[in-house]
Amino acid sequence: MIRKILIFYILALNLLFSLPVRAAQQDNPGDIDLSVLDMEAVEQVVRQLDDEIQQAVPQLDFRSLTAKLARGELEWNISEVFNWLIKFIFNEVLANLLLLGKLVVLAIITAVLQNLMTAFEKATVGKIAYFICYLVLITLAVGTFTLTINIGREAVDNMVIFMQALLPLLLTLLAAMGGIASSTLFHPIILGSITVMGTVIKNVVLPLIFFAAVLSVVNGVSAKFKVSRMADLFKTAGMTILGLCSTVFMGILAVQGVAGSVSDGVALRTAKFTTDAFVPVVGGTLSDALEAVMGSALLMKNAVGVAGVVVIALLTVLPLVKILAIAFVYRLAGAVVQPVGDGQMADCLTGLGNSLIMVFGAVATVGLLFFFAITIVVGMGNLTVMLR
Amino acid sequence: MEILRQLVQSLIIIVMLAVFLELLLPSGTMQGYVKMVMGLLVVIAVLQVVFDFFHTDFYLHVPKLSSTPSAALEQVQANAKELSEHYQNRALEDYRSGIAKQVLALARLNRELAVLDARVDLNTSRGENFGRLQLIQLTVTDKPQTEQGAGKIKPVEIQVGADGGDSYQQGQVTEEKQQAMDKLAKTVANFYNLPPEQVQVIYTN
Repeated sequence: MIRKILIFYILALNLLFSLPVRAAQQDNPGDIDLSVLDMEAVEQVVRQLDDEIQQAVPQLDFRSLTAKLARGELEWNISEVFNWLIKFIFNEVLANLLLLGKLVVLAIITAVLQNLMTAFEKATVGKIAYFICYLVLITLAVGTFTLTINIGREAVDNMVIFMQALLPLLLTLLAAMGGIASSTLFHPIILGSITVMGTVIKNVVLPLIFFAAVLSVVNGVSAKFKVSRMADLFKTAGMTILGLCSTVFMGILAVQGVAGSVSDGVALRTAKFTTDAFVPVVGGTLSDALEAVMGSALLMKNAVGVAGVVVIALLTVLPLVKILAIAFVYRLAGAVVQPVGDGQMADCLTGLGNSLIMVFGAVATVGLLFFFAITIVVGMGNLTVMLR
Repeated sequence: MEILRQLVQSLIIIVMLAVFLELLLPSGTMQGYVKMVMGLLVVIAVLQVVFDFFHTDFYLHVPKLSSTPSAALEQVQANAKELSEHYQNRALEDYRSGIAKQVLALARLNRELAVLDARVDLNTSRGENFGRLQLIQLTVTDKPQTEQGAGKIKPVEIQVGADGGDSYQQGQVTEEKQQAMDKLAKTVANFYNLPPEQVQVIYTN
């Protein structure tokens, strides 16, 4: 699943940074007048974003980003972006080295205690000491795990808040271009489904993954008493809900969008015909002028959509990198601990790493679905104009 | 989710208890019994959740949605209407200036008069007549006398207009010029399929 999501992201970024800029270069850049748009809500949300996002992209201003995209002036270099991303991942892994150190040292102490167990007068003393060390280790690991889950929840929250600010703007542009039916159909459905989606992921899927992780850790506490099946059940439930949500969300958007844009396209076509037919001689000139203005409005809407996608990508990628870095640290700790300690501890750490990769998958899915939502709304406008 | 959280909490407590009992109790047959009792506790904990679920009256509360207020549909539609009017006005302005240029180019084909400016009025009210030409106003003057230096004619203002009014200033325009202006107005009116009174020709200095 993770691989699929990555492939989707790469394709999406490729599309995102190639098509709209070229489109902007072909049209008349002087036609773009963003002052008519009320972007205050979106700008406010972008300004209130995480400090870390602000640090990563210090001059993130939605209006200027949109203007640059519309005029094809956005300068970016794919190698620079990848370098920056790799540097960011590396920094995150470095920041979590302390955690790695603690986990490894505790695991080594536990392994040594296990070997010395026979030296105690009663084996139970050694067992208790081992058990306590193990508890300390899992407390540490679960503590960090909880923090990471919270990063995921915050990311989903930020994305939902941003989408709630961006979509009214996009729908306004869509309706202004003639997509009245589309925007009327979309508004309640898309805003409702985005909010429900965010809430379900945040309050159902992520807690289920957390429960599964905690149970898999508890499973390692006792060799005789296993709860791994219960952990599997929670994990499966979480993944199923995530899959169902994504499918339903995409289905609703696709069906509603096409229905709306076809009806708008017909309405626009009728209007164009009326102008052509009833205004003598120069009717064609009028409909051409309307079409030219519509083209620039379309470009503006696409630029706003692409700027939205850029912000959603930032909101998704930065937390994802953090989650991935911590998951990597857990997996690395598991790999390092395995030769010195017992399999139980290595399994516990690896299991936590795997659960974090599931959190990564859930957050990435939300980002991807929101990306699709923006693309569909933007695409609907294009379809409406195309069908006229 | 609260029910599941409680279930997980109970499971953790039961497992921890089982581990402590395992450590505290002497090894032997007792361990097996402890395991079974703890297993039964787990079964009870899980079944309790399942039965609780079946006894729920299924008045399921929708989880609280995100608190950020979003713009209402009415607001979106009002903004869209405003923006749409802005686009339409811009299109009309482009159309008006385009037609004015076209009229100017057409009128300048005339050999007798120099056309200085063309102004176009459109019907901007919504409806069947939206975008129709209402009035074309041409400002004309004499062709510059380059060859024989004939005396300048005094400026004359002529209007062929909606007022029905020939607003020619009689006495200041020669018959010849008046005919030229009439001809010009007629050409433009015919080209745009307009009644002649919707084309005004103003003679200026």
